[in-house]
Amino acid sequence: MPIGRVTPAVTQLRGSAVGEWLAFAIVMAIASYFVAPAATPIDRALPFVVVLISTCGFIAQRFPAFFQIAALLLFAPAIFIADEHTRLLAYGLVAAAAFAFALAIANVAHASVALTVIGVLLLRWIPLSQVIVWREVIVMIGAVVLVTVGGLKPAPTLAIALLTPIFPAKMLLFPFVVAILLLLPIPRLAIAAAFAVFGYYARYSITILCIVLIIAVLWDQRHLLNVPAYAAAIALFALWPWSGIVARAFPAILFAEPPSPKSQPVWVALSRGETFTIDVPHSATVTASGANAASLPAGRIVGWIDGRAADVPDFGFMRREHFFSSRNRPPRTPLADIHDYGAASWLHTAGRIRVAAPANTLRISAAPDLPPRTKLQIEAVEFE
Amino acid sequence: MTVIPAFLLLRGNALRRWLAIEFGAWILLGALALFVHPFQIQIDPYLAVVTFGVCVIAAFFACVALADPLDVRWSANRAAVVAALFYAVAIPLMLRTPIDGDEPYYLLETESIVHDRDLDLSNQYRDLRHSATGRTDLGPQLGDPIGRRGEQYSRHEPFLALLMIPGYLIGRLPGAIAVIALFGALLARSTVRLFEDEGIADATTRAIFPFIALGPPIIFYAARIWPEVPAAFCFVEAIRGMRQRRAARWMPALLAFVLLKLRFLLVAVILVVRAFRRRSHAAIAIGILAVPVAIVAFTSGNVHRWAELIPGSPMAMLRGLFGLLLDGAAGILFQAPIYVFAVIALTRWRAMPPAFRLGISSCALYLLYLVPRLEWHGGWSPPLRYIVFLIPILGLGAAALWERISSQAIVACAAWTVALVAHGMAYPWRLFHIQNGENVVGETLSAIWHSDFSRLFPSFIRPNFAAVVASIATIIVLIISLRFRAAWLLPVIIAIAFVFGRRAGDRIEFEDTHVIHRGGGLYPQEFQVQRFAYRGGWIVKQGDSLSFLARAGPSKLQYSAGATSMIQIGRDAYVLPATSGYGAIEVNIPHTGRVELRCLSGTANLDRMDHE
Repeated sequence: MPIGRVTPAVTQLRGSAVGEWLAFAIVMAIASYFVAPAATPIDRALPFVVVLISTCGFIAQRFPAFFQIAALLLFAPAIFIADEHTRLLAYGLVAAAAFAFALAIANVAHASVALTVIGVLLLRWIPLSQVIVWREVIVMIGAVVLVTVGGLKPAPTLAIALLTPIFPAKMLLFPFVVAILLLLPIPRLAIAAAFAVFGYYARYSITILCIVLIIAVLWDQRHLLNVPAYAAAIALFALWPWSGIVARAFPAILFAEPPSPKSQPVWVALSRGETFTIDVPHSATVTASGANAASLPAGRIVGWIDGRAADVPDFGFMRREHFFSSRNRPPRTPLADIHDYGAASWLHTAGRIRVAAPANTLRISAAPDLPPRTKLQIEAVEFE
Repeated sequence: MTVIPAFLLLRGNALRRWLAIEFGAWILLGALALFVHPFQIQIDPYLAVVTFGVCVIAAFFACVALADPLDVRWSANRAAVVAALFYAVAIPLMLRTPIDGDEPYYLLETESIVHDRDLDLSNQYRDLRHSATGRTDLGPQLGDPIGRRGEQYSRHEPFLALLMIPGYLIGRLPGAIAVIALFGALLARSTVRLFEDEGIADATTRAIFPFIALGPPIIFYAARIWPEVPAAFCFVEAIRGMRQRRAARWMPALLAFVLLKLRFLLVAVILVVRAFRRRSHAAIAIGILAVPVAIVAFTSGNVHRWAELIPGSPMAMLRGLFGLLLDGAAGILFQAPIYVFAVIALTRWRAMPPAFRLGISSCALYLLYLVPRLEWHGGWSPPLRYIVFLIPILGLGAAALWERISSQAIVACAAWTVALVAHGMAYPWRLFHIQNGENVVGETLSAIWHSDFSRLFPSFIRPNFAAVVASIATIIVLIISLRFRAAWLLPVIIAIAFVFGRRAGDRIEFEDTHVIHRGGGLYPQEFQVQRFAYRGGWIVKQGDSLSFLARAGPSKLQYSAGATSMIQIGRDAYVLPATSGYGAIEVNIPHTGRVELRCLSGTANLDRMDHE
């Protein structure tokens, strides 16, 4: 509500609302501290999430009961769901529903900035222990600039903020670059086309930035895609307990396969030219990855498995510290092995290579032209 | 899922907005389904889809309630059609498992009438393989009357069985249930009409309608074979008829009401007395009531006794009354929370709509006889069985208070109702809960945390301390009309309960879920008829052991044993002398925390252990 038109009665109302929401947030945060398990950083951040949802309720100004009960519903997964991933997704869904509802009912003109800040906090500031404050503050400022100066809606702004790498530091300027692009008197379609071409030829980590930039610039021209776009946005937002995965491993994660219960750990690392053999009864699926291979170009063969080329990426190239500078791309069928939580989460990018009907012995060799510290890791073999 | 209801109830912007929301919801479900495999989410897909469906329906009715009145096409008929559509979806969900409780017996009666033109179920029991019940384990129920020539009758009144004949002939079991669902739809229509008659605003009716028609307990009884929903329809029609002084409406309704279940006679008596004010009219009324009584007594055999006319002790009455209100497994508070407001409405008696006062006052005698019964909770049936017929009237009371109820409380009730419906629809067999003093939520938490969470829920089936506390709190709240903010109070209660729930309690009931059983067996057996009449326990033999959280210090262990047996707790062994009935011994728990109880010799039925 514009300040010039605020009547004393309204001021009093909002004043009491501040006190009421503040008290509610404190009560809820204390209660959630006792209810939340200590198993993961997401569980431990439950009081923080509760406060964010309460803030959504305050900003939305309507249907306060919905937000209060939504905050209360966060207790249900903490109490009832023992399985870690299921519990975290349940948190994600409740918070995403509350956030989306706030966005839907709030007076967008005045609430966009506040809701964007809340969204960025949820997506990037958990786990709190791994936040590099000054870098994240710059990202936050970039998001606010996108909303205020760039005139972007909160949903695409959050996508930009989510995907903005904080390593190297120069990439913190990404939201500002997008804001400038939005202000340029160039047709949005032309910008999108240019970045589509650029992204096609760029390395994986740059390509995804191009894609999110294209989504942002075309967001206002989606017309018939309005409903699917928001539904997809809510679904992705619900994954905030693994926001790092959404930022760096999407859509590869959708094709990821959980480790087979029949898989046998091997954990052998082969330096260039080294060979390793395993006796296998039948055909096998080998889980392999590279070590110190993040700088190798995508598709680079790091070894051979019974005559099949192993073009596997570095196992940890999706860690936020390495991702942008890495030249790898995720394997076609990555292992669904998620590490860490929130913005720090990353996908262990081991590839699964199926070797059909080999001889009784499986011969694995590292490429002879590998850089000195680079190794081919054989993590596990699954006998069929 | 809600496309047809949307076209029935909405138009203009509201319709367009809802269709977009529903489309988006399906996309959201599809997207979330993609995450299940890679993120290794452990969830029952059936539960997930049912929960999604229930949430979408809840959102739809929220949209109907909050939409601009110009964009809503609201009428009793439309509401009934929408309810019928959802009941039609509920039928296959409920038929995921075979029908249970009294249901198959009603269907056997229908089959007997259709195939044999009689009520003798002997041949039905002999040839269960060809029965539509899907149950081959049926036998006569306890107390079923036997005819002079050995005919095996059911104790249940045959009127419901008669009503189900057309449905049965068309579609066998689903067809028979469809008849009940049809009554459910008629009930929805009558309820909306009743609300209109009593001056409830349309907006309020739209808001409370889904709680009544699609919330517990109606939804669970509208898609199962019980006489409760047809009875509720008859009761509402009788009330409406009396309010409108239309004898042609209330007389047949009341007749059908009593024919459906003889116990409803206790309601009908008061209604008739209130309808007729002259002696001659009262005589006619008694004559009218005598007809169904005679019919029911003739057709269902003499399963009722004159002794049943004497109500129970005041203590039993209090137990049943508070149980109906507060019990974790069978009380309104936990099983249909929106009707808590109807209880509050009772304290504002004079301000309530006349139909509410008429309906509630006519049930006084019925409740007087119901609450002291050992089976006040409904026995082997979905919750709140004995007061289902009263639900629309309770709904009227809640509707009369609606404007004064805080939105927090309404949203909290809505969230809990959605959970109840989703759970009941996904796992219909869990609607039947053995009467052991626990409830689904308490059992689930106890199983997860291996601690006694059930003790935190008031139980009047196996009275506990929480029941006393809840009863006193209820009295205080009702007497001083205490108002509180649900959204502030609930987190505090939940947090405190969660902290204390994980600690050792004063009483260990050995058959409870939180006890880790290594060997042994439940006493009495799980499906024991009238299980609530027994002291539950866990039978241990030599080598069996139990593990549970307990408090350090002296405790009294209650048990029964046919012969002397021996148990070990911690490092100490205790001899359990043979008992006639139940006995008790003093034991010492060495430390607070997890304790192992091992049976060293003999066999004992361990009832409970109380910390002293």
